[in-house]
Amino acid sequence: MLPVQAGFGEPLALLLAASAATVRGKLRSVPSLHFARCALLGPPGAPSELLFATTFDDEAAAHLAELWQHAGPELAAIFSHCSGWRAPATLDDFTRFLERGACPSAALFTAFDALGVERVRDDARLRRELARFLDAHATELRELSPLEIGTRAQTELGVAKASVTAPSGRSPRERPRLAVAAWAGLTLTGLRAALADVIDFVRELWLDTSVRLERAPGAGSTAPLGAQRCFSHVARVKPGRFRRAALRLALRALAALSFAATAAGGSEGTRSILAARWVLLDDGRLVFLANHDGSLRAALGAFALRASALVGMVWSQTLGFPRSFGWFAGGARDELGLAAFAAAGELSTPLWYSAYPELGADEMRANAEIRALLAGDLDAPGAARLLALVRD
Amino acid sequence: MLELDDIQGLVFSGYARQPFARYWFLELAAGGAAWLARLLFRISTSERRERRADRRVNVAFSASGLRALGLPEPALATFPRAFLDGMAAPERAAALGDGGENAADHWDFGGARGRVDALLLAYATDPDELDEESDELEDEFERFGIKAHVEDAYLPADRRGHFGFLDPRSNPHIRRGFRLRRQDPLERALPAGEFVLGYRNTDGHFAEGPRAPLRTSARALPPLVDARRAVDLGRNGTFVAVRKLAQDVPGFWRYAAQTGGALWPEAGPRAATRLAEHLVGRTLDGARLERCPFGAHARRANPRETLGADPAASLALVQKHRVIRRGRLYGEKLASASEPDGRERGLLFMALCADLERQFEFMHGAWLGNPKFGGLTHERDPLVPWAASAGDDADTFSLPASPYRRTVPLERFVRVRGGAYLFMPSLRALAYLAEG
Repeated sequence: MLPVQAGFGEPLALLLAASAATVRGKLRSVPSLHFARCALLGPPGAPSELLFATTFDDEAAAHLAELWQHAGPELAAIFSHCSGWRAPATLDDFTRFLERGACPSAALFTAFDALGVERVRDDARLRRELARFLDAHATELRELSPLEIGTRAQTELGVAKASVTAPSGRSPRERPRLAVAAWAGLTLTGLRAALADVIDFVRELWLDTSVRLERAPGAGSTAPLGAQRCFSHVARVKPGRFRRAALRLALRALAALSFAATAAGGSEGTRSILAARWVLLDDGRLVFLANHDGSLRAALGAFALRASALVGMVWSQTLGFPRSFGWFAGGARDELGLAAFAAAGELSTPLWYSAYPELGADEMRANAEIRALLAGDLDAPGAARLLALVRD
Repeated sequence: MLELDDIQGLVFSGYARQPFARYWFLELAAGGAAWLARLLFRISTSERRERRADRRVNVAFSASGLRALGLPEPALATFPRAFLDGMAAPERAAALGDGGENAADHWDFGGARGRVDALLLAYATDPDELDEESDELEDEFERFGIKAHVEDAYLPADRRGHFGFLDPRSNPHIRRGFRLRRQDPLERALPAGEFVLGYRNTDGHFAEGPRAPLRTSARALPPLVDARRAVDLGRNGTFVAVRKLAQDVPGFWRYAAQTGGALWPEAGPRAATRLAEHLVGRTLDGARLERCPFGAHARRANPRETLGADPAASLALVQKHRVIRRGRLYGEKLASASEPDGRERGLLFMALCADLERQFEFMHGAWLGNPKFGGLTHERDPLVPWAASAGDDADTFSLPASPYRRTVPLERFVRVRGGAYLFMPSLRALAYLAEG
């Protein structure tokens, strides 16, 4: 989170709008980078803060070095509008500058789990090659059984067994323990949040704390559907130590639970989410950053129906969220209220990058499964599954 | 209970008994409110015992139309964002895929060529009745300096669209009181709030509705809200998305014959019909296909129980995003698909819903135009226009087959020729607006 120099907000917004395509082109060469974005906070047209976020593989220091190497001048031009930036800058200056403004993610979810950027791209390539192979040899292959087709594909595409790594960096034994820990945390959070809701309800008998919900000008996407989209959101945490404590506990529980959900291949409610994170700022703001496929409304609808407890236990601690009782009732189940809450806090994100903008979350999982099947010892059910995964 | 006598008739009836229709897309001038005041007595309601059963008239307004009627800006600001933006706005166009040749610049109405302030709809049992009603309505246009773009539309006697498919009349059923009209678990009756403002929707909530300053009048005005400081302008009203979709009938059947013939040479002339049925997702007579392609039009438009592994969860999700369809054909039907006549024909599509974003745009974005729908990766609805974006290769169609799917290249047969987002107010809200 980088403060913008006084009077530099408008030029920064203009620069981001004008240079977005160029910066995206440069970022494409950064091998460790999955996603990046620049979002603006503050009054429309004169933002006071720049939110710069990246999702990357490996260590932060190596990632920053890659960023500087491939997109240094472009990022320097952007950051020169922020307080604390000194030109001409070196890699050390760049690293120190970003580290000073760095905010750790309180909870992070990714659909790609332990897969690196190259691997995700390779999986997509493999799926396309498999589809091409099936189409090119359709006449002869249609006479064969699924297992024979699968075996031919294995030979033709030559997928190395070594190319398939475990879906997660953690051991399978560790997963149930983490899930149990997460649910224990959630129960505690629920009780704490429920108590806070009761206190709020009593307060609201005397005080009108309703919040007028309006979408920030400049927010809202004009990106084509089908491609990935980004969503940046900020909300203010409800006042009181109790709320902050409940929120921290919820985020901690969610961090563990997100891992469990990732390991299980994503819950139904998060199937269109490629990556999501919550960041709790020191001044009591809660930032949510997500990459999703399909429309935002669809993603919110799925959340409302299938993962309301997950998002409710965090967002119910913020102002403007639909009224809930703990995370057991109300809250994100109110789809219209959730959409209004999302619209009210949506941030303008003039610069956004994805290393694989055409991939959906489910597609990514299917691609990984295709690779696993092609690299393994194929049997008849596996071959049938392989062919069923190629739907178009 | 639903206040049927305050809800415009098109919400609860497709006017099947009035197959002939004329639509006027209007640009209002000063004095629009006075024009509306004179129109009020003609407006048909959803009350079944209408006196003028041979003719029906309904009206809807865009944001610019409400402004022209004198609705103050603070009241306009209480309308939902999508409605205020209008269908041609960039964000809305992105949600609907209206780019390239489907962009608003090329539209007959609602885009660069003509503003739409209001849509006046007239329906009649026969063409003479329609002409008579039209003459009376058009006299009023002249009197009030209103510019009109007119479109004739109709319901075909054989209930078949231009492509030859029987309309299965698959509109959602609206729950009225406690009576359920159908027991089909896949077509549960939906709460009125999904389609009419002022009533509870599937979630038990009220859709976002507009409000306007309190006004004294001799007319019956909308109910009071906000501690009696404002009127509920939305109650008993609905939002309407209208789209003029030109359909290339000869092109569709030529493609179906060529591509279907190559896929199933053994099927002979039946191959074209077979492919067409796969694209639509229904047989020519409207029945569901046994092995319906994931990307077929009918499946995308109403996925019912097929989203994900849990049918009940799928139905619960789908029923939040339904619309009432009130489409009619325009242009004469082509006598033979193999003999093009060079004339334009298509569908004047109308979707009625309580929330344009949650229902109409969601249906477009999440289902019809979503290349990732149902486990697909780069296909879009074969019968819904969609602009190809840079690097977009979503112009194929996959058919279920054994041992694996077959894919064919796809052409586009439908183009957007006009469109608008409108609000169809209640009778009492119309009376309020007519006060100017």
